[in-house]
Amino acid sequence: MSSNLNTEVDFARMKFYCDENRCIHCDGCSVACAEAHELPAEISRRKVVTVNEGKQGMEFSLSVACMHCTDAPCEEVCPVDCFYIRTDGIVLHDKDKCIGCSYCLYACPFGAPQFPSNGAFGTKGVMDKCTMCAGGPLETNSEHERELYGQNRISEGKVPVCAAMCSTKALLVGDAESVSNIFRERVMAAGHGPQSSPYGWDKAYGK
Amino acid sequence: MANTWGYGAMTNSLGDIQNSKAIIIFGANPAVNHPVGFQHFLKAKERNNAKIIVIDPRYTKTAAKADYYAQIRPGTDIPFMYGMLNLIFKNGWHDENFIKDRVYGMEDIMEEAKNWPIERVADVTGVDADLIVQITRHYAHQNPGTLVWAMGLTQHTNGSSNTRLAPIIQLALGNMGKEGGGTNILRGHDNVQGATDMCCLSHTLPGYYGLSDGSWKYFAKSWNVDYEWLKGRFKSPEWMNKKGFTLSRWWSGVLGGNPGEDKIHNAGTNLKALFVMANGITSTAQQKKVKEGLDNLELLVLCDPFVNEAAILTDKQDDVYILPAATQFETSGSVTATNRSAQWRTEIIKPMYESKTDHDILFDLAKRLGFYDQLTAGMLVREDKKEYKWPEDATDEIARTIKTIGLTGWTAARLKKHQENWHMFDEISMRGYGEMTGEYYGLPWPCWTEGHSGSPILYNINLPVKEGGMGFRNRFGLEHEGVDLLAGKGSAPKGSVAKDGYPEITRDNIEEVLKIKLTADEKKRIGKNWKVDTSNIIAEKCMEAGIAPYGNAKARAVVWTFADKIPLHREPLHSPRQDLVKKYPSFADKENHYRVDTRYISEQSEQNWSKDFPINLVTGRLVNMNGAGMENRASKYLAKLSPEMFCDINPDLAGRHGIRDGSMMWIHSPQGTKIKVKAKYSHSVSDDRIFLPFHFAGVMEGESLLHKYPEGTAPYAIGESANTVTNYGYDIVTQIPETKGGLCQIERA
Amino acid sequence: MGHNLHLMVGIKRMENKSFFSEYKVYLIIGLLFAILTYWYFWLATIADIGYVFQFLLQIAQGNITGQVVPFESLSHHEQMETALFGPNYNAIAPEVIRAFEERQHLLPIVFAVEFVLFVTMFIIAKGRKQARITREDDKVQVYSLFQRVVLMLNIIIMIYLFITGFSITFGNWTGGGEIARFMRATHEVVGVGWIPVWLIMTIIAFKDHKHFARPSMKIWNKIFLRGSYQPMNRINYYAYVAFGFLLVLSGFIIWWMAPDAATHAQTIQFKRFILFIHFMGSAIISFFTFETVYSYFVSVKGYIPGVITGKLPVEYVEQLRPDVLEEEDLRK
Repeated sequence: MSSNLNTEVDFARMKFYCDENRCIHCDGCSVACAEAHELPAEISRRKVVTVNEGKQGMEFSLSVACMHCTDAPCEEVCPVDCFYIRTDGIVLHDKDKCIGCSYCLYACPFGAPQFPSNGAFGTKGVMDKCTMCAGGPLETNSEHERELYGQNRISEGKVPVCAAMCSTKALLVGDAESVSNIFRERVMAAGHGPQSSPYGWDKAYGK
Repeated sequence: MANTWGYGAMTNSLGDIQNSKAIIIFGANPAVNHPVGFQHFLKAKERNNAKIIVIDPRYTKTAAKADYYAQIRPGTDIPFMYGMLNLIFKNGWHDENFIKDRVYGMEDIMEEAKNWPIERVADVTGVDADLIVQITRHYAHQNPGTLVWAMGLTQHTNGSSNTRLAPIIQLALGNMGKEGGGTNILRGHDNVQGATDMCCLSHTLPGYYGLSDGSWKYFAKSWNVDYEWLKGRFKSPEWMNKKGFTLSRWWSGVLGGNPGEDKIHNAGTNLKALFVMANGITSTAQQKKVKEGLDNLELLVLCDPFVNEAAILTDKQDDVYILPAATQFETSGSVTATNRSAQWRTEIIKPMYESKTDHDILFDLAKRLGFYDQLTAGMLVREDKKEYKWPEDATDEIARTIKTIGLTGWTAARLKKHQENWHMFDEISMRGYGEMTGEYYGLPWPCWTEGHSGSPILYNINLPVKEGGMGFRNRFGLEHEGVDLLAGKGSAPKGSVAKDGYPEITRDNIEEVLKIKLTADEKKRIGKNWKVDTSNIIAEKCMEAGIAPYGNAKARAVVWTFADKIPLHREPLHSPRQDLVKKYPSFADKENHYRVDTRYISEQSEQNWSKDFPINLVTGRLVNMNGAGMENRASKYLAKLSPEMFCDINPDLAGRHGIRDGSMMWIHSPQGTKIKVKAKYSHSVSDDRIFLPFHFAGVMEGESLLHKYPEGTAPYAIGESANTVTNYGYDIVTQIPETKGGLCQIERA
Repeated sequence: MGHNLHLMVGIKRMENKSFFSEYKVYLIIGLLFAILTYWYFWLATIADIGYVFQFLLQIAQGNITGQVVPFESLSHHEQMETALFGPNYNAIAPEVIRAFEERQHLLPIVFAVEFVLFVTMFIIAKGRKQARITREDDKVQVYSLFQRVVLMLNIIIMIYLFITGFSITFGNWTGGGEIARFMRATHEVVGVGWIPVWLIMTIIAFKDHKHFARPSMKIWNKIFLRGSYQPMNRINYYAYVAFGFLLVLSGFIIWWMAPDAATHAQTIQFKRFILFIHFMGSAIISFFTFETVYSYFVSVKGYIPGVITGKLPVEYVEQLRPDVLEEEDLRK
C-alpha cells in the first residue's frame, strides 16, 4: 500500500499585521499591553507612531512591536545566546541569561528590545520585549513567568492582548495565512456593500 | 433637533453607518472619541466605497482617514451649510417629494440660502470655494448619506442653530428615516444619553416632560407622591415651573449681584450649596470664575471615585466634603448608548473600602433630609410592594412612567435578556436572531410597549410601527399660519390604518384616528394623551393599528418660538473677523437665561477683541483622556501618553512669536486670564488658531496646585486647564459654553 | 623592535642617522595602518561607506538621525520604514551584526597572532634588557604620589575594562547569567569612571610638550611624567590618546543615550554607528596596550617596588631610562 500521506506537520507561522488604513492611533494596543503585563512605565513593548502628522492627505499611523522575524537578527547577535525561537516563529528570550548588553537592540530593524534604566548609575537592566503574549522559558503560567514576562495568553489559546483590544481591528495577529486571508477579504470586499450577518444567516433566518 | 422633528437624539446607529454611501462629519472627531465605533465608518469606507468628508478647524485623526477635508474657521458652520444648501437647491439635487410630504417651512430656508453664494461662503469660512462645491456635489449625489456631528457644532453661542441646520440638510436631501442616512450625533461619555433621557438637567422633568403643572401632576401620580407636597417643597408655587441654573453657569448663582457679574433671578437669594456627583466642574468654561464660585459657597460636596479637582481648584478650606463614590463595576443597572439602545450592566465587585454607590449616597442623603420615603415610593407602586429591589424596580419604574420617548418596553427583565444574548444580534441592522427574533439590540427607544421591538432608525416610514417605524413627531401643533403641519398624503408608516399624517394620539381623538371603538372600561382607564396614559391602552391600541402614538407630522425648518426662526449665521462672541462681526452680529442679550442674565451682543461689541486677541482658540479631546481627566491622569499608562498639558501650534505661528517646539508659552484670554503650557509644533492647525486639550487640571495660571491634593490622591499628570482661558459665551437656547470658538493671544514664556 | 631603538637612541645618540632609520617605526606603523584601513574600508566592510560619509557630514551639522536625504523626498513606504524603524537599516546594521559574530571568532586569532609576534621579538632580542644594580639603596623619586595614583588607576581600570569587555564579547563562553550581567553593568560604570582617568593620563603623559616648554618649577615634574618618548612609545601614547578618546566618547554615548521607544527611530542609526566605533576603538587600542606592556614590562625588566613607592635605583635609571635623568631636579 503506497503511502500518499502527508507526513509533514504544518506548523502555524505567527505574524503581526497592522493595517494603516484602519489604524487611528488610539493607543489601545500599547496601553492594553502595558496593563496586561504590568510593565514599568518606561518600557513600551508596543508603540504607535504617526507619520506626517497634520499633513493633509499624508498622515498615517501604525502600531509597532517585535515582528518575530524569521532569522531574527537579535537571536543572531546575542553574545550569550539567550534567545530561542518557537516552531511557530515566536521569538522569545531568557531574562535570567540576558546580560543587558543591548546588542539585540542595535541589530533589530524594528527597535523591539527595550531596556529599563533601573541599574545603579543609570546602567541598563535586562532586555524586555513583546512576547506575542507567549511568556518565556519558565514554567508556563507560573507566577514567576508572569512576573518576568507577563501574561502567557498563547498557552490559553487567547489572542495577544494588543490585537484583542484594537479599536478598529487594524492590528491583526495569528497564523500568517489567517491574517493574510482576513486582509485579503477586506480588500476583496471593497465596494461589495455592508457585510451584515454571519454566513448564511440572513438567508436562513431572514433579514 | 427636538425642535425640528420631535426627538433630539441620534437617529440611526453606529452599526448602521456601514450602510452609508457618504459620511459627512461636522465638528466631530470619532477616530479619537469613538475609536471602536469608528470601525463602522472605516468599514463603510472599505465595503461601501463611502467617502468620508470632514469639516473641522483642525486636521484630526478622523480627517486623516477622510477623503475630503475642509479646514473651516470655528463658528462658521452655518454659512458652510447654507452654501451647501444653496448649491443643492440651485442644482435641483434636493428631494422634492420628501420635502413636500414631510417638511414644513423649507421655502424660508431656500430663500436664506440664496444669501450665501459660494464666494461669500468661502470668505466667511476660510474654505476654498472649489472644495465646498466638490464636497456638496459628492455628498448630494450619494444616497444614502449620513451626517455626523458632536461638540464642534453644539458648543457655540448659536449651537442650537447649528443643530437645526444640519438636520435641514438631511431633510433637503431626503436622507432621513432610512438605513445609512440620518443625523448621527455622537454622544461622548458612557451613558450620557441615559443621563439626558432622565433629564439630569434643570429645565425639565425626566423623559423631557418639561416643567408644566400637568407634567408635575403626572409624575406625582407615577411616583405615588402627593402633588401638593411636591409643590410645597418650592419657595412659592411659581418656582415649580421655572428652569434652574445650568452646569455652565451655576457659579453665577453664587456670584450674582456682585459688581461686574451678570445679574441673577434666584428668588432673591444666592446659591449657597453645591452637591456634585461625578466630574463636571473643572471642565466647563471660565475656570477662574468657577473657582470664585467655589470659594464663595457655604457648602461643597463632591462625590466621585477620584478626587474631583474642584476640591483642588478652590481655596475654600472648610465645609468641603469629598465622598468616595463607587465605580460602574460596583453597581448594576441600565445604561443608554448613543444610539438609544439600553444595555444592562451587572455588578462584578462589591463597592470597595468606604465607597458607596451613587444611589446609596443619594438615599442616605434623602434619609437625613427627611424625604427618603417619598423618593422611593415610586419603586413600590407596582404589585404594591413593601420593599424595593434595586435596580430592577427603579428600571421598571422608569419604564412604567416615561412614555414621551417610549421607554415602556425597557423592563429590567427584557434588558437583562438582551445582555445574556448579546451575541445573537446583527452588527449592522441590530436585528435579533434565534430567541431574540423580533427585537433590536437594546430595544432602542421609542419602545412603545412591553412587547415592542425597539426603533433602530427614527422616522423610518418603510417599517410598520410595531417593528420600529414611525414618521416625524407631531409636537408643534396641527397647523401654523394656515399650513398643515401633519405629514403629506401617503406618508404614514407601512401597515398603518391611517395612510396620511395624523395628530398625536389623545383620549379624544384615538377612536377617530385609529378607526376603533373603545369599551366603556377602556374609556374609564385611558389617560388624557399618549404621554400620560398610565393604562398603556393608547400605546397598545396604536401598535395594533400601526399608528405611532406621537403622531405623524412634518418636520419643521422654521422654529417660530426661537430667537432665530430659521438658523442664521451669527459670528462667535469673540471672532477674528471684525468686519463680519458687524455684518453678522450676535443675539440680543438674554435676560433670565436659566436664571442668569446672559450677555451676547454687549459682550461681542464691547471692543474689537480681534485686535489684542487675534488667534482662534479651539479645544478638544485626546484619545487617552476623558472629560475632566482626573481618572485618566491617575492611570499610569494613560498619563504616560500625554504627561503634560500642551498646545498644538502651527510652526509658522510659533515662529512669529519666537516660540520653539517644546518650550513654554503663555496663552491670554479676553477675560484677563492666562495659562502657561508647552508648545507642540503641529501641522494639524493652520497658522491662525491653536488647539488645547481640555483634560488637565492641577495648575492655575502657572502655579502648581499639587500640594493641595489630599495625600496619596494626586494624579501622575497635572497641567493647566484649557478652560481657564476659554471665553465668555453661551448658547442662546441651551447655555452650553462657546468653547469651540474663542480668541486668545500667545506669548513666549 | 621597540627596545632595540631605545638602545640605539640611548647609546648612539650622537651619530648621524638617516631619515629612514630615525622614523622607521612611524613609517612601519603608518604603513600597517594604511593597509588595514584600505583593506577594511574598501574591501572587507559590508557597510555602505558612501552613506557613512554622508552620515558624518550630517552629524557635523547637528543631524544625528541618520536621515541623510530630506524626509519629504522619500516614498510613502520609505517614510513608513524610516519614521517607525529608523533610516537605512541596511547601511550600517548588517556590518554591526557581522562585527558581533566575527569578533567572537576573529579576536582570539588576532590576539594569538599578536602574542606570537611579541614572542618572536623577544626571541630575536635575546631576552629582555635588565639593569645591573649594585647600590640598591641609592634611589631617586621618579614618580610623585599623584602620578602613581593615576597610573595605578589607569592600569587597574583598563585591566577591568578588558576583562569585562571580553566577558561581553565572549558571552558564548560565559553563558550569561547573574555574574556576566554584573560584569556588563560594571563595564559601563567603570568605563564612565575611566573618562577622567584617561583625560588626566593623557595630560600628564604628554611628554612631547618638552620640545617647546620645560618649566623648572618643582611642581611641574610632580604632575607631568618625566623623560621623553622613543618612537614606539610615542606611538603607543598617541594611540592611547586617540583610541582612548574614541572609546571614551562612544562609551559615554552608549551609556548615556538610554534606549527609549519613543525616540528609537531618531537615535538608533547613530547608536549603531557609535557602537561600531566602540568595537573598532577597543580592538585597536588592545594592540597598542599589549605593545605598551611589551615595551615596558616584557622587553625591559621592570622594577616592581618602584610602582608603589615611586622610587627607582639610580643605576636603573642611568642604564635603562637616561632620558628621565635629564630632568634637572632629580638629583637634588
